[in-house]
Amino acid sequence: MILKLKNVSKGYGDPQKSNYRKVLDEINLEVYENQKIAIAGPSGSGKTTLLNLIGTLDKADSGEIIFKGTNIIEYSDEQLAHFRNRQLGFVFQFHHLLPQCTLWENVLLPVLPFKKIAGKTEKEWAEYLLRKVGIWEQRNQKPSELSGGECQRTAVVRALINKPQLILADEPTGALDEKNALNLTELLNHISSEEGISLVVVTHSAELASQMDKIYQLKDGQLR
Amino acid sequence: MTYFSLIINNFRYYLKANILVISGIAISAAVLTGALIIGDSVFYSLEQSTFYRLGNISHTVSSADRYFREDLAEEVAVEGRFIVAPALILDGMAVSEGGNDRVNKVQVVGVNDNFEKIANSKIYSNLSGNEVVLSDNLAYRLHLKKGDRFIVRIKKASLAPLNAPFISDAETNASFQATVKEISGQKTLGFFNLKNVQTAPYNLFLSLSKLNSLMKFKEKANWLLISAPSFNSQQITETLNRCFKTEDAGLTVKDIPVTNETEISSDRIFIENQVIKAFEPLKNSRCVLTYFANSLEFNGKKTPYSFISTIDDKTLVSNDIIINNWVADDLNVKQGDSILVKYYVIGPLRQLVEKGMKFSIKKIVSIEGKFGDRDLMPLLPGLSNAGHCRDWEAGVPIKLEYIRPKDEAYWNKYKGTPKAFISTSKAQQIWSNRFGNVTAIRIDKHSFNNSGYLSLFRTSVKPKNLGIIVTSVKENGLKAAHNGVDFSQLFLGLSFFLLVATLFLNALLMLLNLESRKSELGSLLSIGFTKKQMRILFLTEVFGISVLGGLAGLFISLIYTKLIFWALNTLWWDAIHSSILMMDLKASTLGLGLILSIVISLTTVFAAIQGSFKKQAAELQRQRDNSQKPLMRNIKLGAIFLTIIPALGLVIFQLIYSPVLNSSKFFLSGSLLLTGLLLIADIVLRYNPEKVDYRLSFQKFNQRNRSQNTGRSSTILILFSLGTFIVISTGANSGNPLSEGNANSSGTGGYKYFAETSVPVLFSLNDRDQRKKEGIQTSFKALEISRIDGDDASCLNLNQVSNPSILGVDPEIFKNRFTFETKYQGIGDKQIWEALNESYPDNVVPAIADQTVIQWGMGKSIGDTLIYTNESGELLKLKLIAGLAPSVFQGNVLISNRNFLKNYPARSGSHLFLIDVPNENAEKTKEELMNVFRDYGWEITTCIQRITEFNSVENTYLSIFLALGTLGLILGTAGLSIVLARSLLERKNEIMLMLSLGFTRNQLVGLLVNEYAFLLILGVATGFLAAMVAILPNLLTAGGEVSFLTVLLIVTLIIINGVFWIFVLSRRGTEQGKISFNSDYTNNSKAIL
Repeated sequence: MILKLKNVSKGYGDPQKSNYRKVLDEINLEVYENQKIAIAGPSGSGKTTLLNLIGTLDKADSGEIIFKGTNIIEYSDEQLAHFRNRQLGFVFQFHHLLPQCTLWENVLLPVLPFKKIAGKTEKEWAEYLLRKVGIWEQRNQKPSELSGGECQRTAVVRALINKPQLILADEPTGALDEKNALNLTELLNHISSEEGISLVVVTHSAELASQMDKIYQLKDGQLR
Repeated sequence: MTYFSLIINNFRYYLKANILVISGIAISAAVLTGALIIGDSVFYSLEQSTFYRLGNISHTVSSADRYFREDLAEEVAVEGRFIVAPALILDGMAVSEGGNDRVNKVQVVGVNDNFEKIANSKIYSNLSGNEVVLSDNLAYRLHLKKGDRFIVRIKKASLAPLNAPFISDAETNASFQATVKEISGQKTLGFFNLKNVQTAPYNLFLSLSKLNSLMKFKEKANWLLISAPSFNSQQITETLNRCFKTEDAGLTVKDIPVTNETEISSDRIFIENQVIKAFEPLKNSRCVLTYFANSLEFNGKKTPYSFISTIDDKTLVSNDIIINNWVADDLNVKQGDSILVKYYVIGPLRQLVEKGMKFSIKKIVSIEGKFGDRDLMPLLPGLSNAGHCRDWEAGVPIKLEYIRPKDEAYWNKYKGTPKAFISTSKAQQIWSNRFGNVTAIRIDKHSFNNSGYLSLFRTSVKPKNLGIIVTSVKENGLKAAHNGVDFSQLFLGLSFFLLVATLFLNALLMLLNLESRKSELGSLLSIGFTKKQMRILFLTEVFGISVLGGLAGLFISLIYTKLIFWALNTLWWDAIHSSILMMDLKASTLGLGLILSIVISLTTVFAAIQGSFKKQAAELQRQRDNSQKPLMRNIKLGAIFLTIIPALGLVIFQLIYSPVLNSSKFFLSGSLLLTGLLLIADIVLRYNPEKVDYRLSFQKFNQRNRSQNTGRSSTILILFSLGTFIVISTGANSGNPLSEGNANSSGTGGYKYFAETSVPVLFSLNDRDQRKKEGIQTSFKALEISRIDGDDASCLNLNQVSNPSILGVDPEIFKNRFTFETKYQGIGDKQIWEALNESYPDNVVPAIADQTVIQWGMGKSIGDTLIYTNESGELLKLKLIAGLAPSVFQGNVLISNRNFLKNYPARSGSHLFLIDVPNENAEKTKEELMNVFRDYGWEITTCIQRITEFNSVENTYLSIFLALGTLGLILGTAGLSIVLARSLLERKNEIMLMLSLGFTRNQLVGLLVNEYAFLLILGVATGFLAAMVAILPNLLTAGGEVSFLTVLLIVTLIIINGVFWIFVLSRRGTEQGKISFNSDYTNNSKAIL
């Protein structure tokens, strides 16, 4: 098992006041190596919150998040950053590529935090991935010069650059047209299988969800 | 829904952002309007100070060192139907508390009851005996109140010029114990001053009769104070001419029974040439010159101290002399013998040179008839009325041991009856002096006709010929106030950077505002709004915001002005030298301020958003593209060459070829360099190589980030570079004469002390005998300077002055002293002092003044002429031939002694002294001189201190500039903070993404600090480099003072302050858990603003 959530709760606002809203209530979840799971649910059900908690971008009010046997909630900020950098890959609904950087630079960006400069291995790996997703020719272009689909594929490559154990994808096809959404779904599916990476996808897309090994529904703070 | 409601909705929705913009506009409006109000107020205050110091006086009649009848006032009043008050105004000093409180420069004003009409106050009426009215500043300085007593010492006035031969200098002042009757403030003419200066003198008013009696005068005055606002000076001059009498010219007519003649003589001993010329038509008249000889000698025998007069005797030729039988007996001489006549000739400052001449005895006569005429001796105070020879006060050293009983007997019997007679031509040849060469005009009694005499006087002698002139003091005062320092311009200049900073900030805020509404504009465009409609919509909003900002600015400007006034009256007192500042609020100024600030904000914003609108139409939904168009890039490159090359060229040229490092040219070079460097910095910021480079590092990542939003980055860069440039260049340019030491080339001329007296010193301080007499033991050299009082043209006076005080100096002594900033074409540096001795046709005389006085105090330039009236009533034109670097002479204009005495022969004594003394004796000499000359109102200060006082004005301006510049820098920092906060908000997703990619918070903070600190440091470095060029003369000049510590401190503070805010905001902007991905940009922008 790569990831385990034990009784994780999260709410917004002051618990003592009436405006408090509990989003996640005693959530339990287990993700195994190479497993692909989808989390579906209506808007505002807390899917992104759940993903942010797993991705340590937000902190749970209570409960444990155990990654490969370690409760990462106890990590320091530095450890969390290292964890995100080495173990996780993120793909968001919007690609969030840096407009000032070329596609190539965007892809290599995750190398910087802990290696300061991209080495030969990373470059070869980046080239492999870019060729694989079919955007090698566009590597010197900036996001403003690429299509939405190309940008999102770049975001996938960026998520894979540090060879993570787990990819967290938040509505990865939400901003794409049907064709591009299909392509991206295949890409995520294919690459995670090929590289042995676990995948947690938050999605509305039935098409994408159907490609996953397991589908959870998040409703009223409960994961079913 | 209407346009109006849409605008109102927009305004309310973006309220916080709008308030920020309104604040920015309010600041610029406040600074702009404040400067205008300050200017108005200073003008108003100067104008008011003219009214306060003059009361109802519109004109004056003044005389240079001479006195007319008090009754002249009444006669002029009746003749002209004016209000006229006579006044006797003298210099004095006041001492209270047993000498503990002392004021050395007191204006002593003798007035009669007519002054009440001039002052609009009854407090000056019925002043009797020792009662005085004090100005409140004098009462404050002396800690006096009504009824208190204190000692007043007044410069002794004399009807005869004090430097004239045989005028006693024994009594230089008169003193009395005064009782304070009233204390007068500004509303009761306590600030009475006839000079165009905003500072109030220390005034002491007493009754005219009391002052006359103290001076041993009989109903004399030296000023007529006239209230005749509807008359011009020509009309008053004509009235004065009609009333002017022979007595006002000091002339007396009396019969001389012994010779059957009528004599015209003068109170001034020597009769002026103009008067002599006027009476030339009198028939059977002759000029008489009677002189005091030290001795008549023959074969070792000596007759001491005798008067020798002239006589009309055609048989007398060349060195012939007629002696009386008393002398013949005394010397045992006979006709044909040659006797030696010894006498003093008097140079400047009563320097006596004894000369001798041999005369051949033509006749020996008995003491009778015309040879026994005791009236030939002029009326010499101290001599004529002496009971004994031993009581003589002759103004020349009398060796009492030479006086024998027979001399006393002669004096008792014959008084000053001349003992010898020579020809008039010979007498005038050897005894002629600057005061004249005639002591009396004798006319045959039968030929003399009093009405003819008076008629000749009226036709030929005008008051102005004797230096008695009419001046439109109020008109001149108001003119001087209106032509004075324009504080509107000054404060606009001083606030320049603050204004620029606020304008940049406003433009920046408006642009950010517009950017945050990009999607809104996109929506409007998509629903059919034209670009023009959108522009109108936005500009209408901006107009509303500008009006609100402008109105808020008007309100703040009142507080700002009050604050500046408070500072000017306290911290920056040196800039105004007065506490009379009164705020003058004019609706027109407020309106102008409002309109100007609205127009400026609208123009700035319009210019700023124009590009943005154009861009948005094409790229509204796309990400930014900061790539530079080749044409613009080439224009910038061209501009870089056009600024940097001339800047460096000018610096090199100045360093190699120019003998004097011109600060203005270096400042220009610095400014050009700043422009060039900013353009280079702009190119550096935009540098974002498209070249394929597969490396990615933090450095490259930073470079990529910086190239984003170059407009904002450039704004920050400009604010910091300009701020640094201004703060350093002004901070470093503060004048500090202490660094120059006492070098001869400095403004001190190498002299240690500058001393001033209220009572003139009539002798030379360098005269050994005189020093012995005064008990001066220390060794020093003194340079004595005569002065003709005028207005203070130094920077301590805000009024523009046309007639500053004239100083007579010896150019020879000043060779290789002081430094010139400017000179008239064709005069070599070394020749400037020599050139001062020249004189040109039409009584044009070369003159020198401090360059700052020429430029600012008088509003003139080299080659211009200043017009004065000399003692003879002739026009004296001073041609400015050179401008001195700031010196101890600031406020005065220098001419040569030669030209001074030619034009002001009767001017007595010295008021100013430059003392050259070695440092080791300096303190002792100072103490000694202070004790010796205590009763002269001696005020001594080091030359360095004097220059420091003058520099304090310039330094105060620089302080204001520095303070307002620093305020601008604070706004620059605010701008940086706003841009940073805004950028952090915009880059929220980027930050969130980077956090998700594993960047630590410290790394992100590091990236942001690096990115923005680069802008800060690049801006500061650009400004610093340019400022270094601008202050190069200070850096290179020997003795030039640049406080590196101050400069370093300023730069460090700017950087620390900037980096602090960058760090704080970066930390805040990367706080995990407080930020999240958000695509609703508008809400975010609202949140941060």
